[in-house]
Amino acid sequence: MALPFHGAPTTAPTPATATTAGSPLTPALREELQNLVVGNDLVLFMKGTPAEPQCGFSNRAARALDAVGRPYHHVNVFAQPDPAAYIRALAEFGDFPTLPQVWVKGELIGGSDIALEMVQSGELQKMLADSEP
Amino acid sequence: MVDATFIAATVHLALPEARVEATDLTGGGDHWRAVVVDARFEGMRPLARQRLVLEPFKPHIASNAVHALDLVCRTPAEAVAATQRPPAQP
Repeated sequence: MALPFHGAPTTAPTPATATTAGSPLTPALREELQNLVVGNDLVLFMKGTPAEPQCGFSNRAARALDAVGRPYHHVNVFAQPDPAAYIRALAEFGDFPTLPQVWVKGELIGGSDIALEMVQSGELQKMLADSEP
Repeated sequence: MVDATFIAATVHLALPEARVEATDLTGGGDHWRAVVVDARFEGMRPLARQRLVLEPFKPHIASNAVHALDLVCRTPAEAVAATQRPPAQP
């Protein structure tokens, strides 16, 4: 498997958070993330964007979701004010240590490999279809 | 430096009996693919399986020693079935 877009900021500087002993998942951020995953049927937290992914695994997840054939919401962790803190907060929020994270109807289904598997099996589409009115 | 033995040993912290095949995807020691086979996956959803395996990796992922881990978690029966068909391609 090729990792074509990899090599960009893998080690984001963390001075802004180094002083924070507590969790980067503040109540405000938790609420923001909760609203995001509940307010959108399909959400992809990724490194980079679907057009310009910055990690091979994020790329794979985006391509899997492209195949679903409906728009999805994406969040580029590197576009956040403090990417390193945001990534750690996401890990805590999803109880899942790696990126990307794919959320369907407010539920984390997993990273790129689970997403790909569920798109190929049609299970993800089924989860989405069940939400249609 | 993370190597295949380290990956397998870390998986074994969560699942001592698991069969682990770790592959270094880039040769850099930080992008791994691991196929983990264990009977305990029986009846577990994919995310639950990954959470179980990823638990002991959390500090290594947080420190970026392991930057990416592509995990395939299978029951012994699924592992047998997987050898009988070509692997899924993106």
